[in-house]
Amino acid sequence: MKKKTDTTGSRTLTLALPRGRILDEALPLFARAGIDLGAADRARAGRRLIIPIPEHDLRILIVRDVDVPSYVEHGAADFGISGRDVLEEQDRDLYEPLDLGIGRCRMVVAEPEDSPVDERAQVHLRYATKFPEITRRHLQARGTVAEIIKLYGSIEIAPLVGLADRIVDLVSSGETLRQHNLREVETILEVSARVCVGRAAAKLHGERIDELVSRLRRVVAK
Amino acid sequence: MRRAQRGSAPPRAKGPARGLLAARKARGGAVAATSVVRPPTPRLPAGMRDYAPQAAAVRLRTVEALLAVFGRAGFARVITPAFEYEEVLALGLGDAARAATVRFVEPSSGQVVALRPDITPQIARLIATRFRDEPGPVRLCYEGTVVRLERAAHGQRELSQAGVELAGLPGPSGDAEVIALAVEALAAVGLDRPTIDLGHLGLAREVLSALALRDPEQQEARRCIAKRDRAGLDEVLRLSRGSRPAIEFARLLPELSGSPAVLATAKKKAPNGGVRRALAELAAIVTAIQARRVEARLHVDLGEVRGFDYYTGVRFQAFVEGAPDAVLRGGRYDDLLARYGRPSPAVGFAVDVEAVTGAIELQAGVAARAGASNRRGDK
Repeated sequence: MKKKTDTTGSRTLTLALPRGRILDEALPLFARAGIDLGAADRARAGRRLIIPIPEHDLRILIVRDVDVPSYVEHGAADFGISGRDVLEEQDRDLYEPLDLGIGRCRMVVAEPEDSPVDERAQVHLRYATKFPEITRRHLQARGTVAEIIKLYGSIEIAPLVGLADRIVDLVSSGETLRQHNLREVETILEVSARVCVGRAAAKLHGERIDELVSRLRRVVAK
Repeated sequence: MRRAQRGSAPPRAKGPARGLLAARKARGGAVAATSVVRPPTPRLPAGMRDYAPQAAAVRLRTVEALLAVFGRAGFARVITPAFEYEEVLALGLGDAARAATVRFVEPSSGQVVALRPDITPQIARLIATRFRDEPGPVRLCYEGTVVRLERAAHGQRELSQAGVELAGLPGPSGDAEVIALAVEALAAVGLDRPTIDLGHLGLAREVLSALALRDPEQQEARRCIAKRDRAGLDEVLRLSRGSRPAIEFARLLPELSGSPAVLATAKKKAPNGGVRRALAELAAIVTAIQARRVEARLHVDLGEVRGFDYYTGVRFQAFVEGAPDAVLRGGRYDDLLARYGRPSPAVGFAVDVEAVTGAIELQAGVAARAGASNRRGDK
């Protein structure tokens, strides 16, 4: 207890990036902002998950997209990049200072072309989704009561095999829905990737994070 | 056709029951067909925890060190009860805190009581009643646990707090006294030079009401400011019927964060007298803290809009390395005592004891690992 620790010293900042499409689109964006994460790109091939970027006094963590908010909220990463779908689903207490405009898609409600739901006639409705919280909030706001079935993938087959009446899922081109004879009922959320920043990181290292974010903001605005 | 399939679908949610049964079998317990008294699994409700001797010693040492600092500064220790009538406690709680409160009906009276989710309303009640005739400022301190049904970090629901309340001393001198004490208390438990983050709830209220938004939209504006979501904020500001300077100032809020110099920047754009007054008050508090040579880094965040529950003026939080959120929260609440029948200005703070011990442990762990890897000659 007597051990004294200075808590204001500058240190390497940790950035959590989600592997996959967002990472692919984020790397060129960072490069244009003058932040060369080439080492992260190369390390990815070597399956390294913790990558130091000493030129920018940064450390990159490559994690699953749904895990980014956990790393940032618990302070294991100071900031991260995460899809709005993930941020809304988990509803964490994080700052979201910048929409990067990458990883764009929409979260929609869809149902089979040939058996549309009549919300007034049907007593028991079932929604299959990877996003039960967003679905629950959406239904609650409309005063609809429905059963929500949490799935981890292949959402679009749920209505075809009688598991659900409707689905809530991400679409970009809409091709997957068409292939499965599903039609969009409505859009719940416009999704793109955002920068998210932890509470303590923003207060303790705000200047450096703001500087990085405003560099990114300038290239996003173009 | 699909309806028929639905009817024959196997019932869901049988998992946990089966798991329990299997667990009892594994322990060698008899599973009788008829109802016999079975010993319950020795488990705890979600978010509750025990402290084994070592952890208990750390927590006690921390609490004692904090109380010793409070005592030396002239704050008298008080003890308040674990539960109270809900309607009385609720006078000092916002909607969110009220929703997170554990309530139950007291069997003897049929009245609704609530486990305290916060000790400040209890101290306010105590000062407004027992200290009604006290002429000068009242300085009290406390230590105890609060219970909240919210998704806190680590899913914790019972939190250990130690704090102070200073009633009867308005304005920056009272604020600076309490903030200086907060820094001293953190230093006493091993957290030197914390970052003290200053916001102003009066300013946040002024800005939001100047936007002339309807209630749901005002809440959305507040949410966007709290998240520094500028795109979302721009969208809701389009609905504002407020003056241009008011809208422009609101749009700036997420950026008005940094060294106390942001107060000067903000002053130039202040849309009205209320905002100017709040900024002047914050500047006076910063000056008063600096005059006391407080060993802390000051950080001003005008976009900090949390704590609408009872704060009226300055709101402050302490941040340290190793803790993902504030380890200490406080502020000025000049309306709260009036709700308990005796108007009086007041200011106080509470230390989150477990957040403090967690930060100390993490800092020690990081230091130890860094030492070990240096010895190994790693980068």
